[in-house]
This record gives sequence, C-alpha cells and structure tokens, in this order.
Amino acid sequence: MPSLKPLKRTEVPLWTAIILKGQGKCNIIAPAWLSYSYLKKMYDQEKKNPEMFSNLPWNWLELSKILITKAADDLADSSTQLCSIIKDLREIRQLKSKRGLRELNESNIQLNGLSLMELNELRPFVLLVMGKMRQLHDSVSTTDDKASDDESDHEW
Amino acid sequence: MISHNPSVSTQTIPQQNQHTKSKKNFNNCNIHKLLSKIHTHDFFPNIKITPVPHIFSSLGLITNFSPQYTMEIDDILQDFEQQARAPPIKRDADLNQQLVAAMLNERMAPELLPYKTELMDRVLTEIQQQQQLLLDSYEYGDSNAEAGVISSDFKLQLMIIETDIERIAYLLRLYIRTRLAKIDSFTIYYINESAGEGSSGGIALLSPAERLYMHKHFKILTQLYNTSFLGKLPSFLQLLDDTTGGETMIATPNLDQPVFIRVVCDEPIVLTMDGDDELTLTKNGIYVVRYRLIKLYVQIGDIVLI
Amino acid sequence: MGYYDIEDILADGEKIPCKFNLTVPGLGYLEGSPGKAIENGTKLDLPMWLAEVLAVCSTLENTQDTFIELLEPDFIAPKVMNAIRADPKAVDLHSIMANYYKLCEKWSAMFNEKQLVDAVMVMLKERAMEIDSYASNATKYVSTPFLLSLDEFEKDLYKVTYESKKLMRHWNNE
Repeated sequence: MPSLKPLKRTEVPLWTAIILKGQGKCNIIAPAWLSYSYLKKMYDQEKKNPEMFSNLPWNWLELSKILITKAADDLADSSTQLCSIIKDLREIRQLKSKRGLRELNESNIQLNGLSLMELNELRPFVLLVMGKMRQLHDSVSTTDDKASDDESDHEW
Repeated sequence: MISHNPSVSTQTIPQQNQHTKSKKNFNNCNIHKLLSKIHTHDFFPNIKITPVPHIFSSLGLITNFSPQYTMEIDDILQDFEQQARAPPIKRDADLNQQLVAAMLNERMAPELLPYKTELMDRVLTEIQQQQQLLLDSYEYGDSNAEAGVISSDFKLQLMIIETDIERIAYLLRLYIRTRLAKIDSFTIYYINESAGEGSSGGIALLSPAERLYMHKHFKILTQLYNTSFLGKLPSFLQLLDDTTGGETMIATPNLDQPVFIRVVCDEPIVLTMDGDDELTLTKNGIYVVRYRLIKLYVQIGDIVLI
Repeated sequence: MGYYDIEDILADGEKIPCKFNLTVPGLGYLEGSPGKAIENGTKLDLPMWLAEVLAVCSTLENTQDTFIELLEPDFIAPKVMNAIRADPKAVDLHSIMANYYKLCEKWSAMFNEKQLVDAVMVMLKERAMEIDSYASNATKYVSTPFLLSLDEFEKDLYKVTYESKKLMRHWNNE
C-alpha cells in the first residue's frame, strides 16, 4: 500500500474515506461546492432565474449529509451554517419543481437540473399520475389524435 | 433507489472471532500518536497524487454512490506486510460501475433485462479471489499474532477489504433479488419467453440458475393452487393461462410504464412519440418517458434508468 | 391492468344504468320481483361487467338488436361535467363514483369519448397538484373536505405521495 503516505493527498472512494476518517486516520478534503459561499451563490442564482435549476452535483444532498455528519471538522464552514443554506436551497428548488409538475402529461417530461434525491422524492407521484394519464389517454382510439399530444415536450 | 447503505450480513469467514477481536483492539490503538500528528499537518504542504492503486480493491470501487474524494492520509498502511499480498489481480476499475448500472437498470425497468452473464462471472471471480486473500491474511495474522508483529494498519486494511466485499455482495444480491421478483410476478410469461433458450447460443434472458428457479417455483405454486382450491373447481376453471374471452390470465410486464432516464451517449436521441411528434433527448438530460420507447437504448447503453 | 388487478375487478362491479330492449321471463328478481318477467323497457342498474356484455351481444344472429341499451350514467351527466370544468377541486368524486377514473376509462373505451377523456385529464392534473400540496403537509391527520372527496386512485396517490415526503423528511432528520 505504498500510495497512502502521510500528509499526501490522494483519492479514494467516499466509503473508504469515511472508514479512515472514523479511525482518525485521515482528513477529508471537502469538495469545493460544499461551502457556505458557494451554496449561497447557487441560492442567489436560483432566486434570479425562476425557470432554471442551479448546477449542483448529482448527489449533493447525500454527500453534504454524509460529510456534515461524519467529517464536520474538515469542512470550511460550521455545520449549522451549511445546514441552513442547504435547507434554503432545497426549499426554493422544491417550489420550482412543484411548479414544474404542472406540466405533467401522459407522454413525457424533462427534469433537467434536479438531483437524484430530489427526483426520488417526486418519483412515486410523477409515475402514478403519468401512468394514470396514459391509461386515460389510451382508452380512446389513438388515431387522429389532437390536443393531448401537443402538450408534450415541456422543458422546465 | 434511495441512499445506498449496504446492510448485508457478513460473509462466512472462519476465524470470525479472532477478527472482531482485532477490530476492537484496533479502535483504541495509537490515539496519542495520532493526536500528535494532527498539529503537524499545517506545516506541510499537501501534495496531490493521482488515484490510489486499489490494492484493497481490485474491483475499483468507484460508484455512483461513492464519488472519489481527495483526502489527506496519515500514516496508515505504510508498513503493510508484503507477504500477505495476493498475487496481482487484473485491475478493472469500472467493473463496479458496470455492476451498479446493471443493478439500477434492472431495478427500474418494468421487464426483465437479459442476464449479464459476463459481468456476473467476472464479479463473482473477483469476489472469490478477495475472499481467499482475506482468508490467507487472517491465517497470516493468527500465526504472527503471538509474536506481536501485526500492526493495527494491517487489520484496518483487512477490514476495508471486507467492507469492499460486502458492498459488492449487496449490489449482487439486489440485482438477483430484483430479477427474481420479476420472474415471480410474470412466471408464465417468462416461461414462454425463454422457451427456446439455453440450448442455443446468443444473449440469454435468464441465467441457468434462474431458469431452474423459475420452473421449480412454478411447479410448487401450481401444486399449491391445485391442492388448496383449483382441484375443487370444474376443470374449465382450472386454467392458469387462459387467454379466451379477450382477457389473458398471463400477467405481462407493463412496457408503457413511465421511467426516469438519463441520456449518457453524446449524440442526441430522437424519439417518435405516439402523435408523430418527435422528442429529442440530449446528453445528460433527465426525462420521464414510456419504457417502451427507450427500451433498446437501455440495452445498448445509450440511456440509463435512474 | 391485467387479469389479477383488484382495482379493475372492483371497478367492474360498479353499477351503471341500462334499459332492457326485450322482455325476459324469470329475470324479475333483478328488480326485486322474483318469478316475474323483466319487461321490455325496464330501467335497471347493472354492474359494469354484465352491462358491457349485454350491451354488445346480439340477441339473435343476423340482428343488431342487443339485450340492453346503456343509458348515460350519472358520472358523466352534464351537471357533473360542468362542475368538473368549473372547479375540479370542488367536485366530490368519491360520492359520484368511487372508481371514477377507471369507469371513465371503461366508458371512453366503449364509446371513444375523447372529450370526456380530455376533461377528465385536466381534472386529474388539477386535483393531483392539490393532492401533492396536502401530502406535503407534515401533520399526520389532515381533515379537509377535499381529502374525503378523493376517488380510489386519488386516495392511493395521496398515500404514496405522503409516504415519499415522509421518508424524505426522515432521511433529512436522522
């Protein structure tokens, strides 16, 4: 195991880092986005562009949660500060995704910008409603289809 | 898929007791030494080096759930006993990633996907090798414990290998169980679908073990039905696969079910929706669409289910 | 969907109004007078599964005559449809028809009622958004007339949505 030398930076999978951290064997270098100033910037962006989601990592909720609980001392800002800005971000994004749900239809929807955990929260609702709409839609013959298909392909 | 917390029971490993004991010992080890190190950090510049050769992970554990992290390491593992190493294993960094993708696709698809024969064979072989490495290491640890030459870092390393194996085992189980659940729900359908399989080459929907399971399961189930109620019904009501009267008794996967997808290929994909409308899917886009429309893209890997 | 779908079976048991096109001896028990005949023109509520067959099958070969004729059921009556268009959230779907959407599907499939489907889909979306709002509410017991007006599908949707929000909260706070 020559590559893990004291005081040298190296990359390992998160779970390994957490084990080592738990043993007091390493410090974790927090990702750049997990800081109050960066998240605040994202929050301001969210506010400025009501139609867009800011660019956050695919796993930002999961990662921030793990790092805040397991490696708070390695983060640049206090956990309270981070938790509160994360909560604000989540809320403003939830509002947006909720507005976006108005575009639901039986055919398809685009959900760019949402992260995995946020999708998971919406998933059961979206699947049931879309499934039901499709069943209704399919109950009449599909030839000479009009109105309903024009709704497809909404971006939000 | 919510967060991924492996909750598998430990693989059966001889010297289990010995092992837990050593973990405990390890926890209290060297606290003073560590504390003294922490202060010195500030004086040294951090030097960035490129990825760790995963000696403890020939499977290269980089997953969706565990992105790589830059970290600063203390003095761990540096005096790892060379003798305990297994012969070098062919490294395959994205094997784990492939397994995660296969598991996710399987979990999110309404129908059974073709069994990943090659991937599964490779993963199982690697797990076996890692297990062997563990066994050898414990033996080595036992024989040297008396002499006091075993370092705590050696034990830490074993623990990491074990965690690694457990994580992979969790993925494997999830993959297999998801498949079995689908086979259970659509037994008759898949018995028909896989009828010609096995003898001929080509991509098989089911592994031989799954096929055996399916047929045995169906037999037991039919027996149960027959003895508990079907046998008492008139014979024309005893069918389980009746398709007369415009209604089929054979449950089939619903391919019109909407699924969450992400596009991973570079070129945009154009789908023709049912109203002759076209929908263009672009790289990294996240969409919810009918499974039927993107089924083929999932199989060639241009789209992943999420 | 599918043979073993319990929702589908239950929806098939919902009764819809029919009119007999001929006199059937001995069927009087259907309207509470056993032993008597059912007269031509008798109006009667029959379960969907039975009505569907009788309304489609011809009485004799070579004729278009069917045993019964389906009458316009209450759940798509103009009064109801107007209420749905006016304010989808205020309609008490549950008392109109416990399996409202399922029945609409079945009805539309028989008569190819595009307009009905369009109107119902608009309603579904409106009501789904409302359900989402209630489901986001953290308190366990919400009592509002709206939740009591949900049809079976909507109830299921509420449960599932509530559950996913609850899991999310748990995950956040653990």
